[in-house]
Amino acid sequence: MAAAISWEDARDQLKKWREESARRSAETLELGEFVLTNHRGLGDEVWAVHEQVCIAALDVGDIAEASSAIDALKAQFPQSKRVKRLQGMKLEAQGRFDDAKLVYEELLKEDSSNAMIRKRLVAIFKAQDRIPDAIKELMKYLESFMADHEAWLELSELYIQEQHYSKAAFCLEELIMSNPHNHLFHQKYAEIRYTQGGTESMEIARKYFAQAVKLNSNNIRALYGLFLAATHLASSQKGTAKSKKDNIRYAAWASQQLQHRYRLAERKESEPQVQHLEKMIDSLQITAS
Amino acid sequence: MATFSGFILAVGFLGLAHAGYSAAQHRTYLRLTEQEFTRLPIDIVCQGLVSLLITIYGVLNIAGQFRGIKAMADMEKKSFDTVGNRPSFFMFRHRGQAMFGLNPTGNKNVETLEPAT
Amino acid sequence: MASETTLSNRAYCKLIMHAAKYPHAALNGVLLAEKRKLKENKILRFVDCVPLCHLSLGLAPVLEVALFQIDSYCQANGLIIAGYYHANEHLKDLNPSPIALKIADKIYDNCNEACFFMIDNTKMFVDCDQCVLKHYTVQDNKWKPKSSNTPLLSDDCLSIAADLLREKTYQDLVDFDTHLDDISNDWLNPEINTHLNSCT
Repeated sequence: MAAAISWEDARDQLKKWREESARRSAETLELGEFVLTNHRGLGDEVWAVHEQVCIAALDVGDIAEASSAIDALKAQFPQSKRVKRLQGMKLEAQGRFDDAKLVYEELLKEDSSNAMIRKRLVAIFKAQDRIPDAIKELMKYLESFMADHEAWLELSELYIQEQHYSKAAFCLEELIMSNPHNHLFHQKYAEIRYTQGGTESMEIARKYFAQAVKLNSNNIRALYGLFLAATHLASSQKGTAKSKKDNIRYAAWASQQLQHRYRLAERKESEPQVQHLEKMIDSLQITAS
Repeated sequence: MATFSGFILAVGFLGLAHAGYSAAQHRTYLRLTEQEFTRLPIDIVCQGLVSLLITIYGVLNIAGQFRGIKAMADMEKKSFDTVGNRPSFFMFRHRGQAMFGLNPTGNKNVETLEPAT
Repeated sequence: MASETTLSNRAYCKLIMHAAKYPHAALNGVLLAEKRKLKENKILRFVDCVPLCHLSLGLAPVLEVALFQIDSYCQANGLIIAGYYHANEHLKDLNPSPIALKIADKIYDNCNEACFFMIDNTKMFVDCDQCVLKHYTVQDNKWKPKSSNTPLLSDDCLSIAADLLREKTYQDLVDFDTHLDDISNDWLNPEINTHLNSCT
């Protein structure tokens, strides 16, 4: 793969993955090794690439590569807490959780407000498969760092794993409050509410799916969600005749949008997927009427 | 392209500077000849406006990619595949360690990987 | 319960590729069996696999949409959703999570011979020297591990899977989550199917 791509393209691809926090560790490692052959061309970016390669190496269990990246960073930044964190992460990847915890507790003694280190303590619990402890630690962290979006997202994922949907929904509510224009958070919140079940949750789900579609009309999951939620509400025993009619109308609109998009995306060689979509819509609409 | 835009930008700035200097010179001249200042001569105004347009053109080309004006226009292309990643919480004890042939102790001998419970 | 359970090369290879593409995530998918063989001879022969999710497994909407559409595909092609596979995020965790059991129950409601497989992460090597699946069937109304005396896979299956992992063909695999991110991606993976046909 490295032979087929130029050094500049490789460097740009790594930068893109770094910025969007993509997790493609095997490819990152390959491209990183290629890009690091030309140190001078990178300039100051070389240290960020070393860190990226280190984390990718830990993700694939290549401890040797991670160690050499950490050594390079340590030589440049001998007192850096960020490098010490990488050393802790290396211990975690090797399964030496107690040693990793010691490293982190040392760093926290120097600076108890170091958010990155506190988050690694949560990651240690996750790595030990102690999800309830991870949740407790994360909640303690969020009491001090309420604006940390990543932490709220992590907490919501942990709650979903434990099937505590109302608590997961609360986390997404915090995210929506601080990012009201992000269609993905509205969609995720709606999915959690939909999974919770019950008429009230389903109505909230439908509203948030609709909001996600309003923010990004190409959000396919939100369109599907809107269709499913409206269909469920239309076919439920509770609800007035007017609300049933409205829900049928919303479902019909969502299904039209989906069919339109599937037709646009259709490729001649592959089996038309729109027919599976149409069958799904037909079967659900029978239950709604 | 970048150097051409830089050249255009430089020309624009020089034009603006020259127009400003000319305007100042004009007012000094009027003060010396004890005439009233009503407005700037039309050529200085034109030079100023044309230089402004040239400068704007140069800046637009140098500034780089524009982002959509809607609040989250760039979110439309994103999915939870990337947005949902939480790098600070990455944990490494997953099948990637088995898959890529090296077990967590760095030993290439994969038989030492203990079975799952 | 079916008398015999086997997976075709296509089914097993796509399953392995799904697990390889997202090594850091929990993931799941369904296995499609030949309906006629199942009804007539009680033989559960999985001929294809549709990878489902790697993002949020615990949420219902994507799962419902996927199952509806896969079911419609099955009805048109003489197949039935009779199997489910699930891989946990954690390396050593082989226990079926409550979510996995719930989805397996849903599939069992649709087909009484259904079974499910947990992927043993510690066996996921690129060399594919052993089958990674732990087989579960309904015994006394509960999901229990089944040790089968007949092999689940054909003789050449593991070597084909190993070749595919080495060639990194899994990077092009599309699961339902990828499909929803860009609907021009086909969750049936026709290109991979063609490639697999040429391998066997």
